[in-house]
Amino acid sequence: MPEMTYLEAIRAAMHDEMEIDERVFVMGEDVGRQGGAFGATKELQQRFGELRSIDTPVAESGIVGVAVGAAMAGQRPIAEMQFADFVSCAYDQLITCAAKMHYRIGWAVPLVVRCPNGGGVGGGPYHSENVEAWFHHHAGLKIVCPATATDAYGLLRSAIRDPNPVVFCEHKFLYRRVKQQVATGPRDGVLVPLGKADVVREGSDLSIITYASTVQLALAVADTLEQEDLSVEVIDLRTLVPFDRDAVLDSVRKTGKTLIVHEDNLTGGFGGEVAAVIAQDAFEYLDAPVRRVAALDTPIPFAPPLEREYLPLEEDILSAARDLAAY
Amino acid sequence: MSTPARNISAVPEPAPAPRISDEEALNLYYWMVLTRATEERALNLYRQGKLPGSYYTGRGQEAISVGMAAPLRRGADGDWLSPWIRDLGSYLVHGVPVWRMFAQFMGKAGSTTRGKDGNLHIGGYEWNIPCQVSHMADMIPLTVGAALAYKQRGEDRVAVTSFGDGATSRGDFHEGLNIAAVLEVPAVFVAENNRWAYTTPISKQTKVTDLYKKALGYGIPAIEVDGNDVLAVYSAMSEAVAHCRAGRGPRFIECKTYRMAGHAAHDKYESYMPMELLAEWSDKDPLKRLEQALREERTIDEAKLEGIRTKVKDEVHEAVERADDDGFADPSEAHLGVFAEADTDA
Ligand SMILES: Cc1ncc(C[n+]2csc(CCOP(=O)(O)OP(=O)(O)O)c2C)c(N)n1
Ligand SMILES: [Mg+2]
Repeated sequence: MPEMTYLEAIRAAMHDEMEIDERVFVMGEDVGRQGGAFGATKELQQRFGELRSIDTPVAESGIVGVAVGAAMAGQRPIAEMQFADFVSCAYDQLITCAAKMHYRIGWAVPLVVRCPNGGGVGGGPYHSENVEAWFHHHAGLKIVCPATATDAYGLLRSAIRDPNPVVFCEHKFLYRRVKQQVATGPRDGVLVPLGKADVVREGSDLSIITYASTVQLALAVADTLEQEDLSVEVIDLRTLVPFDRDAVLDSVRKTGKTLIVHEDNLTGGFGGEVAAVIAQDAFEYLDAPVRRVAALDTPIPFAPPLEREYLPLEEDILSAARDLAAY
Repeated sequence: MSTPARNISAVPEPAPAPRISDEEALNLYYWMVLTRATEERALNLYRQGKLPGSYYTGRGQEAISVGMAAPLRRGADGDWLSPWIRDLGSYLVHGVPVWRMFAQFMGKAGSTTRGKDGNLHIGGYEWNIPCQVSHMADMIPLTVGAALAYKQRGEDRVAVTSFGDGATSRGDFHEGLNIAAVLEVPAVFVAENNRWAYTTPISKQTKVTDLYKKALGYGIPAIEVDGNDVLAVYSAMSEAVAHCRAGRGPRFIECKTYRMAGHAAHDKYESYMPMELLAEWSDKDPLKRLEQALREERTIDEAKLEGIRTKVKDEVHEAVERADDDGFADPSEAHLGVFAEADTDA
């Protein structure tokens, strides 16, 4: 098994699906010759030709709209947003056309929109956004947020095969920072199903429910707290839609204490939904109020000290977890 | 030495005088009469309070809706057609049965959306008609995408969409046309310039009131036709479709016409539309014009035309009865279909 980065895993997933399914193609700004701003589609054009790795004009709404039409006409498009932030320009196409077509006439829209998501890279207000919560309110879109290279690979392959529109939020801070041995290959690569959370660490005193970039931070916190004789369970949601309620509820019923963590800002973030589900369906099991750690409710500032202030850091998670454990 | 100025995309030569057989012309007549009769009947039902929501008619624009759909291939393996809300005729010509149109207006189970969407938000895989959304111009990029799929697979199919003059102000119109031109896909864009967008006249919509010129700006060959002459629309469309099938990239047709009533049945248009212009355009009614051409230029027997009108009357009558008899979908239907289980449940 080759060791590869999260970014290489994403490329491998597209490559492997393109090898076995000629309906699969990529499109977006600079994805062809250049292989995209981050190199996720590198050499796909050389391998599969200009009709399957398409450089488009700078027009996100048009790109996603074209992908919806191609998907309906039998192809399996993967549309790349150069940065997740720019999916705001394609918002209408996603919620108006992609999300509601199947509900209205039973015509599937098998589409993936890849969104290089998140902060921590000095991108400032327009190159750092976490966009997953923009979409989870709208019925008809699946939302995937991988935290590891293995999941990035396996979830992306599942997303490409899924008959529904999928917003694939790949965290660009993780692109080159996480590495893993990943089982790839057109036929032998390992898929990860959409809708199944991962219990990445078992524990009995406290549950941290998280996804994407903050999974690593939660694991580090769990290590630290182990020294303090606290046993922390870490749940990686992996996909927000479908949402694995059972995995969350099972964990909370076991530990009685929950900390929800995400890099996205607090208000209206997905954590609010998780907290509501726990409040309704695991109330009798709770030994403490549900707590959330998330980013500030501000735009994402540029300068490193300001960005650090904005982001939820390991120490924020650690102190919230300690408080909760002591409750 | 100076380089001579060159058009990036010349206006195509006007299509040669239409060589449309009498049989084809009569077929167009049938669809135009059916379209008019269906809309008149639906408008009556609306006024009797039998249709929920509002009602939009394409009266006066039947030459466009019928003329643009008639040259296309029908069926799931046929051409993609995404018509605008004025284009009831397009749905009929492209295969949607009349009774299902009425079921749609009534919100019945037999509607193509099982009551989940209304008015001309009609579609289905079996006809290769995607279900349009309310948002003007959104279907333009989708149509480009379908055309891209056909090009990628080397199929000689085309994708067609229509829209109003108002839609040409939206970004998706411009993004869609630009991408279509750059990717050279087999898409035909049909603009229906009826000079109004709700209460806004075209002069307040755009400084370039010849809409085909916008397409030329994107490098798409474009023409304007008399949108009240079904034979003209039909031949322009046939020519554009042939061009697309031959792999020569997108085409644009502007149909000049006039909106013959309010935006929708609830709209008090008398307060803002000049009545003289309506009267003038009423004389150019596309159905009257076709009848005249059939009688005078083609010397078709009045009895033949009468036969078509009678057949249509019966069809519409039966369609309304069938839709009336149809039930509403079970309320549980509201929960179903958010996600597809597989591609094939389409
Ligand atoms: C994006 C969007 N904004 C507003 C509306 C409301 N609306 C419905 S039809 C219409 C005017 C349409 O004008 P035009 O495109 O010229 O088509 P016509 O009605 O004349 O056929 C408007 C503003 C809409 N459907 N979509
Ligand atoms: Mg108009």
